[in-house]
Amino acid sequence: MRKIWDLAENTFRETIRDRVLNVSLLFALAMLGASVLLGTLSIGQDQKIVRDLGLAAIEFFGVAIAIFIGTSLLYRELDQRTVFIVLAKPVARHSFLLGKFCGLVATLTVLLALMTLAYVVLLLALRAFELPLLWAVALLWVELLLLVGLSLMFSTFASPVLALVYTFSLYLTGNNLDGLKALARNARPLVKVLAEGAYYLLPNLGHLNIKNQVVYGAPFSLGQWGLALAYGGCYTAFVLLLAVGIFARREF
Amino acid sequence: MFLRGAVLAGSFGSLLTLAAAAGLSGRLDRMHGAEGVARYPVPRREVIQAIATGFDNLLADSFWLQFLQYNGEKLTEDLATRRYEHLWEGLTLIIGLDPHFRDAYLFGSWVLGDAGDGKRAAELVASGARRHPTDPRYPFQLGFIEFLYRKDLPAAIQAFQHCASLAARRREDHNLWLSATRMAAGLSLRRNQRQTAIAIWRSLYQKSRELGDDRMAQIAERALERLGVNVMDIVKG
Repeated sequence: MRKIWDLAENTFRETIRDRVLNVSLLFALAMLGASVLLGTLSIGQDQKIVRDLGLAAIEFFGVAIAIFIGTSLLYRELDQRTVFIVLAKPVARHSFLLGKFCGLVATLTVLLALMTLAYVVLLLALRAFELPLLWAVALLWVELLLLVGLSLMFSTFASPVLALVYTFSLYLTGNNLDGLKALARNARPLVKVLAEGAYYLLPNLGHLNIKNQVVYGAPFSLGQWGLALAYGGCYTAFVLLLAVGIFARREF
Repeated sequence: MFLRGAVLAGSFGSLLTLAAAAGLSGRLDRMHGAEGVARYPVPRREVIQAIATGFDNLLADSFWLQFLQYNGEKLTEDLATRRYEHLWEGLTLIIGLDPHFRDAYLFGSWVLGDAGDGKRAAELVASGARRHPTDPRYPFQLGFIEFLYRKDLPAAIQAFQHCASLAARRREDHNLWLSATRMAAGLSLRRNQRQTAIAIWRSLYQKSRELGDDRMAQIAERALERLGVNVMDIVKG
């Protein structure tokens, strides 16, 4: 546990200094500011537009950073051969991977907290803040954990570019799984089984995306929210176990 | 010395190219304007919904702003030459992405009515009312659309009565209840419909001016013009 903590701390220090992170944070804050300007162009819907655009900006930059840094994190260690120095010490491979995961998650948590703080301050100034908006941010955090897990898992066996393509494809698919369910409804038995199987086995990011609902209050229960959190946690654990399994068998 | 000269030349060059790009952009804008190129393309709803990737509300906002920008400009044009474009397609795209987008139903129905499509204006608000069965603002709007654009007095009375029954349930909707009750009672007296329409449009015009809602005021102004009322008379009181 101590080793995971040390590795996580090291990864956090390394990623928080990344220029991509600073630039993305600046862009996200600029977009939050721009949302006020766009809101004024609408008729009576300015608060809704600021809420929508703010949540979308937080998700967009959070996802971009999770995928971009997540897919290059392991590659950097392998490319600079620093992984051999670490693994030559009494550090298990799974500790190394989990340390990387926790470090990047810590960085994303700080980033998400900063963006959310700016968002909340903006909404409070506009008298447009409602607590359920934070529920959406919490689920977004879980979505980012899952994406970091997927990025790391893919980067255990693929190049950074391919890992990025795989993770991004799963992100797109995971947000559009309803189409697969609709396909299963009217398909022939074999296709139906395959489509339904894919629907339940692929990461359904739609469960973690409630930003379209929370801007209108909260037409969902706390139980539903808790289940979504648990779903994201379970899937992230599964992906990490898979990543650990692949990384343990990898030959350098 | 050489380095400083190079930096200065580079800076000057970059400023010059940026200014040139801005100038060309302005020229292209003018060319588009001169040729009357339509700038309100409405993509297919199915395609947009398929690629929304969870950003449905954001896309709806973006299409709404585009709708307002394009059709807002149209509201200021002359009545005879004004041509709205893709109103129904644009509005159904927005509510397809975000079924709770209140102003797309309410303001959208005014624009549809102003464009002479009272049937679809009523259809739009009715679909909003079906999706928000406890919200009295939808039947309230439906009442206006039925009376002012479709001239269907019984349907308008029914909509206002429905609005009043919904508004009576909530204390914060007291003003709406009062207005809907008055409207239903006033229309039930079956007085001169033209005079009633003028009174409603006049009230909407004055209210929009008070609230600084220029687009709504322009719709009311056009409607009053059609009824032969000069808005300047209202302004003068």
